[in-house]
Amino acid sequence: MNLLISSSQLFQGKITPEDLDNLGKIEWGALWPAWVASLGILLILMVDLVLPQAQRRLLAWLSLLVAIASGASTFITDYSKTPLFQGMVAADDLSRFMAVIIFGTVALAIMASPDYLARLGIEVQGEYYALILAAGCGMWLLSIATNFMILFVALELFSLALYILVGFLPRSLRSHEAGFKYFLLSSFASAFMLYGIALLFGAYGTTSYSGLRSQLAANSIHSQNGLLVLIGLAMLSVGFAFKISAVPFHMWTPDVYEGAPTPITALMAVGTKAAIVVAFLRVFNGALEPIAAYWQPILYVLAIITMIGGNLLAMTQTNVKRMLAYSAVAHAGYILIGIAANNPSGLQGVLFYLLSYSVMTTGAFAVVIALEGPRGEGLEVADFTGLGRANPWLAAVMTLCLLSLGGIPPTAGFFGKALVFSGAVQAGGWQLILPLVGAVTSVIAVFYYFRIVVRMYLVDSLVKLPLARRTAFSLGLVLLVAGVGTIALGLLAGFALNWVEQAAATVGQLVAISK
Amino acid sequence: MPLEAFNLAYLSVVIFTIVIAVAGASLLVLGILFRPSKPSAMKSIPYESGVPPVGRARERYSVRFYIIAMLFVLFDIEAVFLYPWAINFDGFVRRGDGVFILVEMLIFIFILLLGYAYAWKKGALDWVS
Amino acid sequence: MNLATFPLLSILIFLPFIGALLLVTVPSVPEKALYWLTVGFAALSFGLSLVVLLTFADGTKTGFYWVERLEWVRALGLNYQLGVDSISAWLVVLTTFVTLVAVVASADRFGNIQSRSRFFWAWLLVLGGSIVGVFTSINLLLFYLFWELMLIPAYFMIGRWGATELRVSAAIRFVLFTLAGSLLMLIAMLALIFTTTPAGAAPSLDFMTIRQAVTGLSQETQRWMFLAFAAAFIVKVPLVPFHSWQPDAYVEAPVPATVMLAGVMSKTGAYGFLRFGVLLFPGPARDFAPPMCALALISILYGALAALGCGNLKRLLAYSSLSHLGFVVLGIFAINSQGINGAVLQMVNHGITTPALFLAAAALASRTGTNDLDKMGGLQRRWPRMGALFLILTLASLGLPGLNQFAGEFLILGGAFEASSIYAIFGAIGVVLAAWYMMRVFQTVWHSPEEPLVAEPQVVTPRQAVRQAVPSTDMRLGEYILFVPLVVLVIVLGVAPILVTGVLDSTVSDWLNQTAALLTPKR
Repeated sequence: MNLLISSSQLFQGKITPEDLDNLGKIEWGALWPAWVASLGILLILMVDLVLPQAQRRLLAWLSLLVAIASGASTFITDYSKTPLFQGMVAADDLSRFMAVIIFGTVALAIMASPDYLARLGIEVQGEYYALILAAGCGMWLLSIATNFMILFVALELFSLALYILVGFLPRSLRSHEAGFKYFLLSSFASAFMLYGIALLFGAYGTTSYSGLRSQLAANSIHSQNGLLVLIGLAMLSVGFAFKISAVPFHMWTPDVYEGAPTPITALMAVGTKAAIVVAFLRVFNGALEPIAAYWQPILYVLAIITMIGGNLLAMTQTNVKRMLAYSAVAHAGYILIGIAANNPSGLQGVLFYLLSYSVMTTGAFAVVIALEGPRGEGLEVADFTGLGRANPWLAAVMTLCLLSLGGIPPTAGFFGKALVFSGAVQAGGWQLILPLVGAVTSVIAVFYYFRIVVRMYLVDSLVKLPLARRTAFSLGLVLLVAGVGTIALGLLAGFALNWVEQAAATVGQLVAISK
Repeated sequence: MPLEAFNLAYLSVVIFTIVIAVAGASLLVLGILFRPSKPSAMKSIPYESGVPPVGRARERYSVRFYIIAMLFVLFDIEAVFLYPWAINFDGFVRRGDGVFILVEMLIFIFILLLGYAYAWKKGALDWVS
Repeated sequence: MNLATFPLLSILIFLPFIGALLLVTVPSVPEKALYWLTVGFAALSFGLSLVVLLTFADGTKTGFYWVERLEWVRALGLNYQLGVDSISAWLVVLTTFVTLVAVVASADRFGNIQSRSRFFWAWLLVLGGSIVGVFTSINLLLFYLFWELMLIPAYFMIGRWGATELRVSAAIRFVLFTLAGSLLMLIAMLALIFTTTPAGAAPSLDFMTIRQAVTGLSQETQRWMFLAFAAAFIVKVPLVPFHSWQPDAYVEAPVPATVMLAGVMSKTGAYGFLRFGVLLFPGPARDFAPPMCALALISILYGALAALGCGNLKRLLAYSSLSHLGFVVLGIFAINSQGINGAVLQMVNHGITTPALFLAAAALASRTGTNDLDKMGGLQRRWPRMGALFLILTLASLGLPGLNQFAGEFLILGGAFEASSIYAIFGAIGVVLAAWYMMRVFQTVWHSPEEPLVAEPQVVTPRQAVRQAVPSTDMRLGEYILFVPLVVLVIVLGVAPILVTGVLDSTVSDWLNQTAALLTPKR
């Protein structure tokens, strides 16, 4: 696909009405969530300027409203299910699905924040919420991109917002270090990804997924451009593996997750991961589908070492945030199983996994937020001792989320895991090793998740702990949503799956529509 | 666009790069070959417009320089968008999309204006605070 | 009451859950009231489960009754599908009965539940409900869900109310062992979805559908699947060498929890072997019968020998339980009518005797303050009635004719003999060993020295201090209420095992005929 308007035309004023007609209809409505979020960002920044310090708490509610409106706005347009804006973005069920997941997560992260920010003495709030919304907007755009250019711009949009948010805690060296580390390593990975995109562009002269797919389907990988494609594929895999924090590209994860303000950690663990995974699906299971035989082995290996590495490393952690960070690494491994399976069951499994993973991880981090002290104390596993008595509801939500993370039925996590495994089992052959490794590592995972449960319920506490702090209303809402969601997604998995099925079906479909 | 076409289109860039590299390298090599080599302490200090350097090279600049620089870049980019917009305006008007494209640019300017207000109110424009 | 639509089984499963929810949510109510609430719920489930059993009273019914079906997760072939045949009917009744016993026992002081007992009762009810779910699920994945759900209450009961500092590690070991086995089963189930579903059809893991479809698979595939299922069951039963979680879990758990674990949870493993091993994979079950029987025999002998060398009464009972469950598995893998009848009968009988023994041991420990056999002796003169109780239970446990365990073991050995005389010979050695270790216990505790010998506990922890405060009386009223029904059952089922087998026989032979029919065209 050639560019419809060249830059020379643009800068010499030579665009004709015919060129414009060729651009096709522009469906602004498909991007409602992004418009709403962007307007919200401007609004919040302006309100922040005029609002007196005492009333800045209103900003949280305002941004919550924006996040919810962004998520909801995806339902007001009837999507045409074709790539829009000259094949730049997709407007399909998966886009809608992702709008709900990402803006839902953003809303939860916002709700978890006001109490936390007050406790940590952070007064700069306008930028905080505006950046969260910007990150959410970028994540959503990443997940709907069907062109590498949009993919990269969206990636940078949310990454830039997150660099700042990760280092947002004033006078916390750990937070600043995390922000800087994230910035350096993430831009390094972005460069890899960009190089991969450039090589693919070099091979076939297109950056659109559908164009790439038709070229790959038409040309044998053994033809003269094959080497470029394979190197590009390798580069892209490295970039994505880094972003999804798969072993051995996971090194940044624990440090960044530990240093970042906890609501931001939750946002990164859930929203960023969901967005990257869906971009992963659209690129690998969509655009690069014709050369699946070449990337599947890469993903097998990544999945296996990620599951083993993530879980083993999590076992020895004493800091809950770090443990959850390594557990996030391990979960990336489970998600990779579904991507590697490259069949409808696997794709559905991945999407359902994202859904369940969002609620349970948000819940676990919300409990951590509730317990975290003003100087970052209360984050050790030992600090959870006796929580079952001091704050039964908090402990109950934590237990539920941990059970779900461990994949114990009838919680959401179990169905996520079972569906992802079923994708690999359906693929058969060597892929059967993946669920077997997954099963073994799940047992390890239950071991370290239960260490927290043991602390909360089974260890008689003699130490007086500041656990009885009242949980703020908004944080309570987050806990409620996460707890109910974890159970409901399990008990009503059938309904959620119908939706997921529609969304998953569009992954392969979309790119097939070549322009 | 297959690789051959891609190669041809960018061939000039490759030639250009090679010529520059060769020219730069050959000038340096020529210099080494022909100049007398008599190093001294005075000669090996960094060149600073003919005056002896004062203080350390790793000075820390006020963060305000960067803020101003960033703001400059932001508002400068505006022109990059305005220019093609202006010269193509006519084409849109002829097509009957005049109002649309005007409003689009107004939105763009308005967002920049908000940014300006934000920078102003936050004190990014005050040199001394 | 319309048999076809009334959701009796769902009620049986979820009634305890509702009870548990009530227990944890009602605001401050006296402990006593909560206790009676728990007893009420347990008794109600027991009563309702009798209705299920009465369905099969005429002894001719085969196939599943009280069937319920609701679609749940289509992609995984998971339907909410319940049903009982006469095999599971007896096990359901056993479960509700043992739950009731455990609940009643948890009130008495030897229950040793001293803190936050309302949560303990709630977990107890949840465990009972989920075990009923295990016995009544006729969808494979639903079975798996309840199978895993059992872990959570058991984990908390062991880990939180256990006896010593080792309780946490015992609880975790229990969870990890069982989880490792059952995840393999899960993968096999997922594989079943894709290997048995024709292209384009909705997957289904319904027991009857899968049972038909399985025979279409290659022997190789069937074998692997059978092994994966067996992994889950071997750990749960448990069989040597996957038993190492079991003695610690039984010893550490508070007595009502031990009663549940040994009384019914261990039966879920044996039941799994029967329903999802022998009946679901008849071909591989037949091929793997010799190694499975060998494992069972090793468990019988190992358990018996370990019990013989064991100085702690509770641990001894745990090992004897290991040995007895070996018999059950031996009977199942004899794969004949006698063996399977005997195995189910033995499950029921063992489910009555073992809880009774653990409770009796706890009653004794509440008086002596110890489980250590070396520190007890000659107690017959001090507490003669309790001695009589022990005598009956000991004799029942070692398989005296006329008491309940005899008939089951006899049938199993008969079935094993039919399969191979070697099995029967080694099995019989196990019976002899059982007599040896049980009588040894009885003699040491109740008869040996002239003077009654009760050691004072050496270390007085708060938990033990309460035990010491118990007056050294003979059987109290609460204990009579607890033990008399158990002893009556021991005798009744000993005299009239036909009560169980009469109901079972038609179903077992029907299953075996069907299995034979499934196998013949393939071979």
